[in-house]
Amino acid sequence: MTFNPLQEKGIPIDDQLRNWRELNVEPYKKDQVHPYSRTRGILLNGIEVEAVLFSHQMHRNTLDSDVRKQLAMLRRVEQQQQKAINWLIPGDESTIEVTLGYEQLATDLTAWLARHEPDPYLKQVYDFALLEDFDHLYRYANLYELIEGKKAHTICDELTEITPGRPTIFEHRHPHDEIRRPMTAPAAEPQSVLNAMTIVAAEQQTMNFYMTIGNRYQEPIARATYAEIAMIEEQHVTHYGSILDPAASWLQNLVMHQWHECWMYWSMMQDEPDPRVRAIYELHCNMEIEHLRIACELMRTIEKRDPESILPMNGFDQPLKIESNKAYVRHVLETQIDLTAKNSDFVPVSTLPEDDRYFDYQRRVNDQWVPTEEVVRENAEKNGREYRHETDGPHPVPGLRGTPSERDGASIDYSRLVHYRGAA
Amino acid sequence: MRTMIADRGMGEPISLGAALASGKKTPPDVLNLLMEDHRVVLGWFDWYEQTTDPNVREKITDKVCTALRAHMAAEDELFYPEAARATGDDELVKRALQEHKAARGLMDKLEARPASGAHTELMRELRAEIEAHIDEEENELFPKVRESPMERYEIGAAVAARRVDHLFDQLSPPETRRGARGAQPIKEYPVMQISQDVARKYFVVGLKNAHAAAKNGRTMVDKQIGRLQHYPRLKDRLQSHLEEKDAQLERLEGLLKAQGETPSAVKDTAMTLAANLSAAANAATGDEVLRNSFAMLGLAKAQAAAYESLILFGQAAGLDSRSLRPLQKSLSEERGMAAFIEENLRGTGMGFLQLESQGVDAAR
Repeated sequence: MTFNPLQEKGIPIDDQLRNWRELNVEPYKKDQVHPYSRTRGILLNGIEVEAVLFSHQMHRNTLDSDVRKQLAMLRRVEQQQQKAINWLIPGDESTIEVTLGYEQLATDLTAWLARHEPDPYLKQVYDFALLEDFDHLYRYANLYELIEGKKAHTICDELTEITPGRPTIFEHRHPHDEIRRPMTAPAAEPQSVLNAMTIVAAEQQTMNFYMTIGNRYQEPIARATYAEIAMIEEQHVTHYGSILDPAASWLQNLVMHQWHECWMYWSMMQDEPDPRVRAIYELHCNMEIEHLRIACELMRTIEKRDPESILPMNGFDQPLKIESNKAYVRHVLETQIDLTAKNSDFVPVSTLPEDDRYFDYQRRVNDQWVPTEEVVRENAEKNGREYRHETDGPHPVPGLRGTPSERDGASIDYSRLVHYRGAA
Repeated sequence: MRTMIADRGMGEPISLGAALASGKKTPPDVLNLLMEDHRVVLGWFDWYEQTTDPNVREKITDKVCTALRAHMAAEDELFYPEAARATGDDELVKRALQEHKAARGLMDKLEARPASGAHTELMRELRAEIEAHIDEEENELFPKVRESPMERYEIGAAVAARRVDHLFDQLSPPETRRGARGAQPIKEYPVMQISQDVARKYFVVGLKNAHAAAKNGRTMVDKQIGRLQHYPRLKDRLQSHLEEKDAQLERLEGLLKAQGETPSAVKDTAMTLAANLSAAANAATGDEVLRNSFAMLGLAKAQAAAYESLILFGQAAGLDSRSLRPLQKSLSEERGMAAFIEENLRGTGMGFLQLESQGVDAAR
């Protein structure tokens, strides 16, 4: 299946503006929505937020008033697209329920990207952070049971397992160890560029979301858990943002953004079961085709460059799929739980020297109290056991199994080393 | 010929011109830029007339004069010559230059700090002069330019950069001004004309050199794998780098073939020989593993630099991004290898010392 937006005709930009009724879409039904419909909406909202933020930054770096006007027009439409997507979320879905959707998306999106990443280094970049978002799902699931008394699998269904990943307590690393090696856009695989733009937008929205709504609770444990995980999102946006080509021009980035948005809507249209939502995605896809045309025209006029020279000739050859990745996640858990990041590389934590800055940073932030550990402990105390949803057998890492007898003396290197060195 | 971004020279602070040329700022249509300047300065004249505070009036006068001088200098140096060429009309430009001269005369008087009454009168005169000039430009010259073949974004970038250089110059202390030091102001915007044939020639030379260097690297890696005993992680990493090297050689051969060329047997042989010699020289020492690490780090960085330049030359030679992708793979691999060695220097060094302290021969 292929799709080439350069060969399609979109909707003229002046016809893209919508009235308040069209914008204030009817939300989905919380008890009927497919979990992956929820996550697709969260992803596309992140994509539109990135489009808007990027456009604001570009506008502030553009010296021409006419180009600024064109960007303002595109941005107005993108803001409307963002409203139409994000207003699908109903008011009776609680903040933690939306959050569970964010982390389910982070898990199954990152796993798909890792599976479809042609560059081995970038694949490692995805695998690495996959285990961290996967752990957040488990922490929030325990928070959900603790303060709302409900089970997270009623939100996530049987599609994504809920169980520890690389424990959040160990994810806190020195900022210098979050910088990866960048792609060189002119020579990068087109799929690598699409993948990176997708994850940067998704993680950035997760960061924005937690930094904004994390204080909407009265319970100290909820506020603290959001604050701690929100700081990992900062790490992830740095981690993923650093793989993008820093040398690309604004116009090149504008073209790539519009190209990427075409891929997103075309992909999400394929599997969306709700015909009403699917119609919104199709509409937006037709809008994006026109946005791409405008961006290409600007590039031709201003940079005198042919956009076709930076875009693959045949369009997209595969849609991104939000789908279940249980076996893949288990495989990565089994093989990479004890990896940490060191400069631009990933190494077993056991290879770090005792005086490594990782341990200093750990001691600094995990001093006395770690909310993501506490939330599981409190929930276990209240309900007699922590919350997990393991559908495909016991945890693949013996050191992360539920009870001491299940662990049978096994531990992960992290628990051994960080404890031994006096952090946490 | 291809137009490519030029660097303005090592060590020079990043200028607006460089940012515009590299796409880090998006350039203006020169006519929009000049018209925006016009609106801004008219706004300041209004402000001057609405205030009675002499201090504020003085500040506004300074703003007006500084901005007008920079605007006019960029027009004189870049826009007018281009406009005359593009429209074939020298007369309008000549008139504009005369108006600039008149305005500069008024500004000289204003900057000599005249008494309040004379100040007001001079500002009124300057406003009248500028308004007439704007009227002429916007209603006569600009419409003609708009119909001419002028590259308005290219000239816009140059004018914007030049205008900022002038502003910067006026606001700097006198002893550091470019003019004061007799330095040449930068007139040309930084782009270069590159011949595709020249680029292709050096692309092919670069491919052959990279091929020979990859052979050299491969030999170094291969020799070490056979000898390493005490450094299993290093050995594993080198083993996978050996596979990467083979893939790199294949990619380079593919690119050469697409250019109708083959690797240079002479270069390959010479480099392989050199690698054998340096590996043998290091093997004869008691700290072989360290010496080899240093050499490998240098080789990986050099190889990465070669791939990065090949991507640039390939672009200059007109190759599409699909054809350049193999080079990105190789570049990532070499950056990865260099990062591995660099990030493990400490580990390797400490391991070496520890083994030696235990009385073990830790050389390899």
